[in-house]
This record gives sequence, C-alpha cells and structure tokens, in this order.
Amino acid sequence: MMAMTKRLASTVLAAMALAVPTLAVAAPAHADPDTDFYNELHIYGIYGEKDYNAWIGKIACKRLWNNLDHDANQSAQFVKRQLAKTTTTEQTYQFLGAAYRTYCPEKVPILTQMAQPAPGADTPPAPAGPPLAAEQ
Amino acid sequence: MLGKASIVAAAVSMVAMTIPAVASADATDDYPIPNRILKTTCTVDQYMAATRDTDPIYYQRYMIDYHNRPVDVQDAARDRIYWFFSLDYAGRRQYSEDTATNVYYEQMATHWGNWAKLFFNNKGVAAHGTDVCMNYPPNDPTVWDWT
Repeated sequence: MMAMTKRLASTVLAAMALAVPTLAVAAPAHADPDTDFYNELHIYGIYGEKDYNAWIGKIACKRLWNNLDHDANQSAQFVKRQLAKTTTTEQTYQFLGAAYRTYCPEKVPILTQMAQPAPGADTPPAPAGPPLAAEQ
Repeated sequence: MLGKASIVAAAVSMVAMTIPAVASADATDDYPIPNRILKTTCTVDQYMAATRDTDPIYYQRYMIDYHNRPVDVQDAARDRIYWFFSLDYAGRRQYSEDTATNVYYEQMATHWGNWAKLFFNNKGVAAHGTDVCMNYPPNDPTVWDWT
C-alpha cells in the first residue's frame, strides 16, 4: 500500500513537472504569430510597422514555395530591399530566420545549409609567401 | 490686428477659390493613369513581375483581390489590361481622358472596381515597376498564378 502510494505520488509529480512547462509555453504559443514575429524582430533592433513586416515575412516564404527564390541568398536579397536602408546584412538574416521559423518552418534548413561556408566564400585567402618566423 | 487677420482670411479664401478651378474632371498626363504607365514600353507581364519584386505587398493584395473574382471577371480583366498595353501613347492618353470624363466608360470597372489597381492607382508603384520592368521576360504567365 505504502509502495503504491509512493508510486502514485511520483507519477503525479512527474505529470506536474511535465504540465508546468506546457502551461508556461501554452500562453505565448496561442498568441498571434504576427505579434510573436514583431516581438522577435525587436530583439534584433528591427522596427517598422507590424503588418508590413508580417507581409514581408510571409511573402518571403511564398517566394520560396512558388520557386521564385531558390535559396536563402535570393530570399535575403528580397527581404533586404523591403526593409529600411539602414538594415544590416546581419539583421536581414535575423529577419529571415524569424520569418522562416514563424511562417514556413520547413524552410529553416536552407539557412543552415547556407551557414556551411562555401570554399573561399567570405574567408580571407590564406596568406601566401614564406612562413613567418614564429611558424618556422 | 484686425488688418492682419483679414489679410490672412482673404488669402485663405483666394486659395479656396482657385482650388475648384484646378479640380476639373479632365485628364492630365499623370491622372487618372500615371504618366509612367502611359509611356512604358514594357509588357503587362514584365511590369507585373517587376512590381512583384519592387512593391510585393501591393502586388500581393492585387493578386488576392484578382483570385477572389469569378473566373470570367479574371479573364476579362486580363484581356482588358493586355488590350490597354497594346495601345500606343496617344491611345493610352485618350483612354485616360475617356475614363476621367465618363465614369461609365470602362465597363470592366462595373464588375470589379479595382480591376487595374496595380497599374493605374499608385504613381509610386508605377514608377518603381517601370524603372526596372525591361529587365524581366516579356512573356511570363506565372505573374497571374501568384496566390
């Protein structure tokens, strides 16, 4: 009897432990995705009108679905043209990541594919010439 | 004091008097159809593909509106805008005049009031689109399939 009570108690505790994070997560998850997106953009210092940014995020996804843009680079070019001129490249990709996560999560992998640096891209060429004294 | 106020009042009323004269129904080279649309040599498809990139929200809203119409109205709107783009500058300018002076001239508008919104209603959109439309393929049916 004692053992059973103990087992029951631990089951209930486990259930509660599971339930608490669920409850905590539930409230924001039910919010409007446009609002979540808007709030996330603020973290990156991207402001502007909420509906406008939501449209741009959704259209960025649609351009991928419709095969108008084929990779994250084209997608980023589209987004950058629509954002304020002061938007940095980093912010552009932050916008893109947030847009994919919010409106087309299945497209998130194309960003990680892009994160694998292509040979020679963005990395300065190795210094040519004789090795420095310290390397010898 | 009174003198100053009456001069201001007179100035205001003079401005008010001149406004009705300007606001006649006649078309201008930029109204109701933007000058850029009267003059562009791009095709409908080129212009639409350009606005899809330059003013994506404006384009998107037009396409949503388009797809919410019955198919016969969609087809008629397409035919009508292709017809308009087949006109030369003088023909387009005359059409602009006809629609400005007679609200019943464009029958298409009785079926769909904003049938040519992407083309005629916004000078900024027309300017952005016509700036780059020559860089797009002349025939691209996908511009109408955007949903």
